Amino acid sequence: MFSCEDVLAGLSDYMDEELTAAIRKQVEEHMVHCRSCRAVYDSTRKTLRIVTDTGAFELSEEVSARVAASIRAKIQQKS
Amino acid sequence: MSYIREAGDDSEFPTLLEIKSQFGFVPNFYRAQKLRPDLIDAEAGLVGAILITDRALTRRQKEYIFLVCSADNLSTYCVTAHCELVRMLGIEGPEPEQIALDHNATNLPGPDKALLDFAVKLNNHQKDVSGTDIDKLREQGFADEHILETVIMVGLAKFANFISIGLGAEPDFDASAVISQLSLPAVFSRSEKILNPGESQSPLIDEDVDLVQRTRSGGLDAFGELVNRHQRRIYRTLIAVTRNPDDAEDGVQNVFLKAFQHLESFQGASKFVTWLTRIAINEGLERLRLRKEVDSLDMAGAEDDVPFRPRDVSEWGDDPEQLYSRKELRGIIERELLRIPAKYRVPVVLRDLQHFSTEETAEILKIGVPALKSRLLRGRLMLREALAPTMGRRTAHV
Repeated sequence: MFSCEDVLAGLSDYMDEELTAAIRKQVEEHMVHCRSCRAVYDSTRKTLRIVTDTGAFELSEEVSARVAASIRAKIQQKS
Repeated sequence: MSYIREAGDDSEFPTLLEIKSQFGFVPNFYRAQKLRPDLIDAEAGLVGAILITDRALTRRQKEYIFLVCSADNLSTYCVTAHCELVRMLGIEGPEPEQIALDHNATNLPGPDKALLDFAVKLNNHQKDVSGTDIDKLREQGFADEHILETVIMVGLAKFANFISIGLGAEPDFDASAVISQLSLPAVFSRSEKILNPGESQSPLIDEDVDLVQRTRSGGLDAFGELVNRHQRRIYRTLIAVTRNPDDAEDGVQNVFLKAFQHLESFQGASKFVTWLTRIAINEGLERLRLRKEVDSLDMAGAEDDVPFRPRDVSEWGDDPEQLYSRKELRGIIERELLRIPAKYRVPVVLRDLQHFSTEETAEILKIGVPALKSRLLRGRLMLREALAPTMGRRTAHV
């Protein structure tokens, strides 16, 4: 029977589907009965979803165009 | 509706007319194969003999085998189509979506769960299947006829899954029921891949190879295309390391100039973007050294020996992000990410924001996969903990 510590240790792998079927099953069986592990799993999953959907540290179009032009100019200068 | 052209009118194909009379329309799965009506006929015969004709297994058991395998094979088309089919047939039992997401979390009888466990194992871990698995099924009361049909059903599911994926058949059965399952308390990550089949994190082919070759042959425009394609990713990587937008902006230029200069040393052993991101990590570390900052990627901390324990285990609402505008959310994520030590922050940014695979992230950071996984876990849990006060339901402490 998996403990909360076992589940927590495998949480990342569980979300990335990198656990074996047998361990995945143990994690899931534990979560059916453990509200706090389920809450941690659910909120971590939502955290990653928010990070993926929202993004972060975007380069603005303006800066992006300036950087691209500058790279090109420097390469042309050297060649 | 699919990747290849459709030929002819539906009325020219008796089998399609028959299918249309059952569903009220011709599903894209068959439309996509109209170039070969003879194969559609053969497949319909196969489906009829294996799935529709009842012998040992019931239709319900066979549909469930089809669902769990299709979910494991990430066939959005087959999962949505057969969830709807189970409803159309009036099959009683758990919601078909729940079977697809996680049959073990349903109230199916033990023998049926064992049958589906075996189907998933055969579907995805063939090399582990042995006579012991068959004996276990016998212990659950299944005869050889049941076992034979189960094995053939797994084969049929894989057959149909690969046709739907390979031909790009667009789901045309109602997918909303599957989507609604995302609000269930225990949703398993398998479902997210089913719903986002296009978001494969690590395409096997390096799509930059052609541009790299053209750059080597003197194509400055090709290199410009590589810059446009990857500069946002490189900028994010640099911010993750340096935490400084000015450093990151300057760093992007240096990274690409270094890449251009050393392009000959790129051998193609890893993907170009992996190689480029490694240059970005080095650039960021160099900038940290110049600033004499100590937030190193490898800095060992006493906390490494102790597993991270979440303190706030309050439940979050279904869509906590709805509480904030996109701009606000981005601000919160950026602020909290930058508070996490670099050792844990950079793996999260590479893996979860840049969508590198676990192996690629480990390769970029020049650490082993186990070390990467340990840092990633801690980083994700730290970010979750940091977001909990703004996203969690404050009333639901456990």
